[in-house]
Amino acid sequence: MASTTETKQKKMLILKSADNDEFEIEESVGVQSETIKNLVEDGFTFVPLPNVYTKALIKIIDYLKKHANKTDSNDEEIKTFDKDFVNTTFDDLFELVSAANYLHISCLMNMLCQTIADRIKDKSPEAVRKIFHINCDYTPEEEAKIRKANAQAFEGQFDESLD
Amino acid sequence: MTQVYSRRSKRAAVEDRISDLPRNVTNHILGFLPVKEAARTSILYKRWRHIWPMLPYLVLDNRFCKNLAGKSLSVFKETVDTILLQHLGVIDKFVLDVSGVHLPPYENIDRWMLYATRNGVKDLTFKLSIECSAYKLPSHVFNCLALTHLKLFNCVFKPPNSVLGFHNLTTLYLERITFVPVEFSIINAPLLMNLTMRYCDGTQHLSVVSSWLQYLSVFGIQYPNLNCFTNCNNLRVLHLDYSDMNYTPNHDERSTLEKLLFSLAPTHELYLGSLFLKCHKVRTTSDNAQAVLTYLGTPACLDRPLNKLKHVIIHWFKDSKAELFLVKLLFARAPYLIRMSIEQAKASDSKEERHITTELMRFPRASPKAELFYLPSVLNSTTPSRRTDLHQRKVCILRASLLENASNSHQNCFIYV
Repeated sequence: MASTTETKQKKMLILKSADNDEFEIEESVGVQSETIKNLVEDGFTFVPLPNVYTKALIKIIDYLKKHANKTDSNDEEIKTFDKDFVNTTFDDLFELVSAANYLHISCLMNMLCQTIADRIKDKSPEAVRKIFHINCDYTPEEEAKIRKANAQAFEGQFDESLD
Repeated sequence: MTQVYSRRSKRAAVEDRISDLPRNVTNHILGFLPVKEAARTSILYKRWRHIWPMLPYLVLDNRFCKNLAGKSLSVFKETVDTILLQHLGVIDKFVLDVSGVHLPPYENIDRWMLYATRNGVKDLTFKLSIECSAYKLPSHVFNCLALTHLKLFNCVFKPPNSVLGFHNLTTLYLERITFVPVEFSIINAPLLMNLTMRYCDGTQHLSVVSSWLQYLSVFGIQYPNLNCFTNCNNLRVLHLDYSDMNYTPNHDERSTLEKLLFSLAPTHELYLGSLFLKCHKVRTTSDNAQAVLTYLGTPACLDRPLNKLKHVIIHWFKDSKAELFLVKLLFARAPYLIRMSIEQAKASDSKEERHITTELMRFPRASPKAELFYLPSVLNSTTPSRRTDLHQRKVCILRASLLENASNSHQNCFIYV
């Protein structure tokens, strides 16, 4: 049993992005994603990922590689890596979060959602709408009514910046 | 293989980021927002009007409660009522941290707790300031079947009958809880894995029944009552500490601890506060230090090698003779030791440090792999991260014999394999 796991660790996987780019990674790196793990358990070594674009996939593979080599001594290094990883534009964050969700990488999901939440936390509704590219569909009267109903939530100073 | 993937138009995606994200992702993001910010999202656009009230997490944290109560208590109570009234569907997580608010009587809290437990709360946290009188836990909390995580501060457990059934509970954290004994009460939590009790009272008539319990941490002012854990025999991590310097445990208490230590599963982590080491050391009378030294010097003090000991961490190392002896002993008796970390209690100058390290390095080591790490003093703030670190590792067994060998130094030992 031990020998099979050893050969398994050296096994490689090919991931194919939505832009048809292929990436070869070690199986032990890939199985941090539940989605990939399930496919590997069913005997697949070629994994098409129709919902993940190359740009996001490159970043996610980086992340998986870094976290696969987690030991006690490189804790700080990983923290720095994670910090850099999420230090990007909102558009990238949303692209990454949907990819991480599709791939079922829970630690990455947590980190990305926490980052997005932290970054929209003190923003005004107008700024959040711009960040999410939402067109407000309330009439001014409706909006005023909702603001009144949850008056406590709209008190205080807001941050209007978009980054 | 020519397969055509349905490729979204990037431009369309940019038009509205939110509709693009699956519901579980938006819930996940909003779950990290404080309740006030999450409530504000209802104004973004119509589709989101009802997303916030349907979120399965209600986190009324300290900042939120304190802010509102700062205006007036009635505003605070009304707002929480409104939030719960607007809420739709299940509540997975309910956090009510009123530790910054002085608000007895507690009728409102009873009502909010009832609401949470009726809606299938799985993860319940309730924090109350220790300056307030303790909150008597209503009976529906004991009968809440869905609970998996329960964290309580400053409450009174006065169960309606002697058996407290938490059938799905996996994590229980109790701080400053008073158990009002009904002669003998039993916490029946068959799935419980993590149990922390800090400064709890009235545990002498308590018994915890859980065959899965792996992590147990008991901190208190007085010597902890360990009788309630004698049925737990799958423990992997055990943390014990207490702070009453003058207390000497009696024979029964000592044998309970030994029984508990012997019943530990083969891999575990052991953390004992310095006072334990003090109490369980050899019978010393007046001349403490000298007796310990003599004892540590005798070959009988640790006759069996510690075959499973791989990692040792000693905090608050003060360079006393007894401490040096302990290190020497561990080096000599642990043939598989990998790492011995010693943290200084206080910063010393380089000359002194060189002296200590030279001394430490001279000790013969039974394990060819043993490495010695001598770390400069660290602030307490680094301890939590260290602790989580430890939990992730596989840890060890060390028999009660070590307790008797430990010296009277002011140190905490993390010992694990």
